[in-house]
Amino acid sequence: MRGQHLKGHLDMLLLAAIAGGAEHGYAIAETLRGASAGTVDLQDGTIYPALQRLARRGLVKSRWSEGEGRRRRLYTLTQAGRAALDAQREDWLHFERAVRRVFSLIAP
Amino acid sequence: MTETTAVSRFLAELERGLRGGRRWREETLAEIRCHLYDALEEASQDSDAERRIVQQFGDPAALARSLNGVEKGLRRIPRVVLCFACSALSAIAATAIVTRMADGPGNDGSSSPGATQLVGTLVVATPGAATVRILRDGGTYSLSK
Repeated sequence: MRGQHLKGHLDMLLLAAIAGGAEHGYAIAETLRGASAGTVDLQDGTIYPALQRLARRGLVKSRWSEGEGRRRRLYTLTQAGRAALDAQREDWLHFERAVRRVFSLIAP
Repeated sequence: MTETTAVSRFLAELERGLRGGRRWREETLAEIRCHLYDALEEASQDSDAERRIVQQFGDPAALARSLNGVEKGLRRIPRVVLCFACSALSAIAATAIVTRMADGPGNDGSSSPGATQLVGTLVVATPGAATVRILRDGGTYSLSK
């Protein structure tokens, strides 16, 4: 996704990337890149201020975990985070349907 | 784990830019170091991989500023809470001093009115001055370390 479009949606995308279970930062960045077939291709570092902001808002929680010889911070959604994600996903799909209807007016 | 050149330069610059509690800085650096090394392990072993990974991560100085902004937000105390606290302290101190002055010095003469007034003025003035400073500076008041 082009940078200027991504700015307003990064939090939502991070919540979605974490929704499947505990993930660490590198895996989250790779999930976004892979699931979007490279469309969501942000600078990896940008996820860390966003993750810390989500944690401050109580939408994600984190814990340290030892594994494969490395200590990683794993993030999971809180109940509030899951509710926020569901609401944002609904808003996004509603918006997407509206845009498609408008675009259908344009001749192919 | 051997620190490689581009990664170690990145982490050093990030560390120089971070402002905040020691534990937060250490954990943030540890987390980002882990990310970079995970990426290095997954990447191809060509000589340019490390440079690409660090470039993909972004500018360390800009990242530090973003992280500092989030960290600072947690440690801000709302202005209204501080002003209320300082005003309340001033009022309590003023009441105590006025009451003490109205009662006069003790029978043993151990406390002189002049000293009491000086201490009382300082006790009232300090939270009062803090209130004025907070109001003058505007915004929120940050606890800096």
